[in-house]
Amino acid sequence: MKRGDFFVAAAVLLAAAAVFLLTKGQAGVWAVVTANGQEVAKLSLEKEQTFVYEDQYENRICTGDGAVWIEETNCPDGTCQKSGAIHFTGESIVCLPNGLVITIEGAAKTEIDGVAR
Amino acid sequence: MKEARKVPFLAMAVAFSVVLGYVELLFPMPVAGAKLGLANLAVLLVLYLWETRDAFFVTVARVLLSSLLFGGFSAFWFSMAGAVLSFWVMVLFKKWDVCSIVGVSMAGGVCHNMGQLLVACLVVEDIRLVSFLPVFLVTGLMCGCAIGLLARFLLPYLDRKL
Repeated sequence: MKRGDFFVAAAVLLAAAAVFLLTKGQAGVWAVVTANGQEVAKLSLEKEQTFVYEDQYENRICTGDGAVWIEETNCPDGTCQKSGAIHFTGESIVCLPNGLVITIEGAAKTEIDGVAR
Repeated sequence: MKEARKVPFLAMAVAFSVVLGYVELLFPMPVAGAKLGLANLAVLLVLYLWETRDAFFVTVARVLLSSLLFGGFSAFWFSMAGAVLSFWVMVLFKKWDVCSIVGVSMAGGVCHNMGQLLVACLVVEDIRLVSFLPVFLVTGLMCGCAIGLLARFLLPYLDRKL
């Protein structure tokens, strides 16, 4: 082992900590469903509901109790379903085979959206 | 070592890394999408035993074969991006010569995950995926460290036999 090894490890851990602190979020209000770069749905996290997104594959998206998760999918890897439920701004669920991203938006942003509407 | 003698050993290295890549699928990972990077062990060993171009050949052949066998077309691009990025970073770190094989492997592991995340960002056109980065960095570091220690342990034995 050389000194450089510890330098590499320290640099990576620092970078990880920095990114974590920068992207750490608060409890979210909306789940925004984006497919191939375009928003397709905005679901309230408090209401219990199910939204089915269908493209090449099918993702059954559920919300409730301040969280959003993918209940069921028929995409080949099922990574999106395995990622479980997300609660906070900055978190996301991704289904690469279907080009789907679910992100969480917080209270601050929805207030502005509320005014615009 | 003579070119002709090297061929079977490189073929063995490719086979070894494809098998390791399969074994890796059997390990459940705490984070969806993160990789153990076992296959990197073969690449790392070839990189230290022979030349850069031999190791690059093993990398590319491994990705092609394992995508054909276990993955699909999209899996191919993810693996390729991760593998090629991590490979060149390892070459760079090895040339730079401030790290031992463990440091080189850690850098490789981290960059493998970063490359995959980068392609994921491009595919879904959403930069917010960077929120996954910390987990990917830390798992890449830990797995890279384990692989590096393993390679350091194996290298003297292989060096003597070949």
